[in-house]
Amino acid sequence: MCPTGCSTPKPPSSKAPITPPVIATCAESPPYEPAKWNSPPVINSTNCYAYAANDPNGHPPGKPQPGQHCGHPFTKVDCASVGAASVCDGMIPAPNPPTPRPGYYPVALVMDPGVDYHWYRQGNDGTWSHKPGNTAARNVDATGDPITNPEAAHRDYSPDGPNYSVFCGYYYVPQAGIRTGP
Amino acid sequence: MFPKRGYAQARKGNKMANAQFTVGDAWRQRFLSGMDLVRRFAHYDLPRVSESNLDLDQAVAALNSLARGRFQTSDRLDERDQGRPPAPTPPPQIDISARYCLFALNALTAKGEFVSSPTGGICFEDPFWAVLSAAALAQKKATALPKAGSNEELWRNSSMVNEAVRAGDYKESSFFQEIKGWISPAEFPTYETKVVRGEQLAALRDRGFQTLEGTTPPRFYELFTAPRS
Repeated sequence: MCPTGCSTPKPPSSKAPITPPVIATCAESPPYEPAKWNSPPVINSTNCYAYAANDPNGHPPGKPQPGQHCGHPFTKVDCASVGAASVCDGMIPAPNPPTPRPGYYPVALVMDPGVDYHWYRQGNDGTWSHKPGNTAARNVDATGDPITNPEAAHRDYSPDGPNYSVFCGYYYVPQAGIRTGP
Repeated sequence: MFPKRGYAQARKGNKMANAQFTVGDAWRQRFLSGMDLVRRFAHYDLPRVSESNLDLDQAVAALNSLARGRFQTSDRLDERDQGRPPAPTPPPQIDISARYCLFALNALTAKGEFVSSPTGGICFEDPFWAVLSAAALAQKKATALPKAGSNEELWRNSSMVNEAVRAGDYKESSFFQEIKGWISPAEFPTYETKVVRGEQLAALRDRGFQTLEGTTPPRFYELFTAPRS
């Protein structure tokens, strides 16, 4: 059951499951606003984590890191360490698929173990977007397709980047966002 | 004095203790081979240090001096002054439980900009490539990341550099990928030494990039990148 302001799109046929599954849309999720994120100084001072946390402003050049704001940054590039550090900053573990939670929107953590982590966030139209490192925010996956489900999205950027082959899980972020970075 | 057997000197709280280059004692020879090639193609009056006297601090100072353009030009060296060319070498064996010394450069690369983790820069397992990268930066070329399709190719390429220099057609862009600048807030290149566990170095060799532990949070480094057509 969706809370007020949220809705779950119906599949085209009640007998034909959608592949990949469509995740509930939520008006409480932040809108996709690339212009807000893709100009200096924001583009050069935020990454996927700040984007997932909807925390664009007030960062020094660089990349806010999970756990940095609460004083306990992650120590290993794996789901457990990055996830725990993000919870320390204020994210809340969510079920898979994430059920709508009033006052929160869902984000997803993926991993190239030992190499890099990455976050996606759901927008208020139900699709997902992300901001790789200090590059531009985008609403397409590694092959240029719109992202309706981060677990099913193409996440292999090799050889020019990581292959986020491991889907760690979903987390909730308060609608107002959370503060990241130092 | 630099300890014998290729072990890095203990300093800064013993962080460097018991770490060695994967090429062991031959790191000095690899370093000076690179310096000799630079003298040959760039005609720089670089610090002259005998192999037996070269220590890690001198090596880092020479890299930074070279990369920042603080050298004096001189007349072309006589042929008899040329040093030994780098001997072709396969990648040295790694003991995954050992600790190894690398040179690191605070370069911002395209991958480093793309990843979510904090960026550390470029690592050089082979001192030869550290010297050649510093020379590329000295030429005001924004190239410093070695190009190779694999770690094995990276080691093989050092002899190709030698051949290109001696043939007079060495181009930095043939062997190094462009970089995008320096990791903020730095405004100029800085080389330093970095110690990694053998297990992490093996992973770094495997794909050419890896996030290395030793800092909190860990930082992303590159060793080489596949050439782009």
